[in-house]
Amino acid sequence: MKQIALYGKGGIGKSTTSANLSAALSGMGLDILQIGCDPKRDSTRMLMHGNFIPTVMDLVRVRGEAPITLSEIEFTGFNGVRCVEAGGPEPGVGCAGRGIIATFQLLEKFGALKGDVIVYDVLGDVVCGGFAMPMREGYAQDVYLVTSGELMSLYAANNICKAIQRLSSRTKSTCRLAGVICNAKDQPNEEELVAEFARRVNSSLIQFIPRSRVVQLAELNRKTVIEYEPASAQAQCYRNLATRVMENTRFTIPTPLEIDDLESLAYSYI
Amino acid sequence: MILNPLPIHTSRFGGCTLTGALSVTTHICNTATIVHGPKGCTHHNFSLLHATGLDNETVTLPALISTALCESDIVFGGEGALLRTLDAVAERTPDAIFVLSTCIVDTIGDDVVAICSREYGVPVVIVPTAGFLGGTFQNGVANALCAIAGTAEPCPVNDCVNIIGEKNLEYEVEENYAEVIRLLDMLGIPVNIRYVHDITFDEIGTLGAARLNILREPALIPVGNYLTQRFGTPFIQTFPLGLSGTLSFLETVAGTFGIDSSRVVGKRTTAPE
Repeated sequence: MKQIALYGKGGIGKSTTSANLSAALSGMGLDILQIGCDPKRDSTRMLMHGNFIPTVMDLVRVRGEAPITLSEIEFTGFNGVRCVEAGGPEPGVGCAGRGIIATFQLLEKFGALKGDVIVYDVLGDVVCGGFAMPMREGYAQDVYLVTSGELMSLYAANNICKAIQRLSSRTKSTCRLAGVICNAKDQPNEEELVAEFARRVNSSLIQFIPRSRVVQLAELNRKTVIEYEPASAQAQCYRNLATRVMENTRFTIPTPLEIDDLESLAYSYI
Repeated sequence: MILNPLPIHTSRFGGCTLTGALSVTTHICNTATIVHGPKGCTHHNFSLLHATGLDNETVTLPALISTALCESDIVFGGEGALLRTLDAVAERTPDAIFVLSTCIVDTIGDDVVAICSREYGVPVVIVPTAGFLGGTFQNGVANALCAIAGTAEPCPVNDCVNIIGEKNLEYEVEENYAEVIRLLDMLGIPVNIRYVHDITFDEIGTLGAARLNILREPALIPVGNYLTQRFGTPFIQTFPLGLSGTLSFLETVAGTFGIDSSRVVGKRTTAPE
């Protein structure tokens, strides 16, 4: 079983990329589980045809100590992709990080963490220990960074490299940086910049995903691109990503950049 | 008065901020203390206060109530649990409710102030007591004394003193107090309140009535300063230690009250050591 996690700045397209990646992987005949690790709970929406599925934390909140079964938190979406949303507290209260930890413990208890590939789609930044949970022992071994060529997005990706570096240096840790996915914002030299960033943090650009109108159209139709327009170049792009993820053998301990180096790198690709 | 200058502690004084604050709030009669956190924080402190009471030959069953937070309270926020507990405790109409925080609620950022600002029909006093913020038992004592003093308003001053910050968990609380009373009696000065040792919440309203505050020990100077700022009351930093300490204590107290101490002090200095 392969377990991969996608991290990156908020709004950069992690959920869109994750959902399309899961859809593409399922098209290869694989059994896929996608777990949204964000209180916003919208990771799996396009796989579920626009529906917000009940979250693990919703059920915990309502049921308290009463038992929950796997069928109440796992839903089957497009092409058999199994979908789970961790959920979390209302904005501004409680501890979302602890919610992620609690979700993982429940999923473990259910034996839900099975299949050919598990895709973890994790909230914007690794703000606390809870959101590093998918990277810890036994969970995602392959971490992919989703970024555009914008400085703030690279900055977030670089920060996540620090978390991966810290976790991967632990003796029993199997978590590694598996690659950088460029979700483009139509900037000049964007692919070159992100490829160079990836090289500098001791990784590589695994896939360049160009900006495309079809992504918005698919979302408005509540579908992944894979489902909405499977013959499009964009869908092919996600299928290429899926193939590369499955064939990837380069897993590294990242070397995050100093902020000055990161800025001058971005500057040199203006 | 003990002549050994080393204070005789029970083993409790190295503990958590929460324990320090509880050593104060549980000595205010007819009040309840809510510990907002997991139930273990309350259980351990209840046991400790009870056992210390037994050491001092008193049976104490401190009025502690836990909000008993569990994992889902941490994930979704513990404010609801605090609200429910406050409602339940207020129904039993104590004279006041003290709300003490714990490490976990300050970590997740529960808005304790907002919850406690509601109307419960009884005064609700918040004492910040999260131990992980670097505080000690002594900080807990000081936080409680200052927070509770905030409920008292300035009032006309009389010729009396307050005893501030008695160490309710030490072995010789009453003996130490009795000796201070004996010395004050020699000067004819009465005690207003023992802040805090087995007093009522109403009595705390008279906190500003004393002409002088006598602190149990110099560690309470921040509390002394706070009371000076709030009520204008000057303070003596410590209970007297040893003969010379006792003489200067008498002189300082007498000086504050404009009393001639020479008769009392003169008699003491001629006594054999």
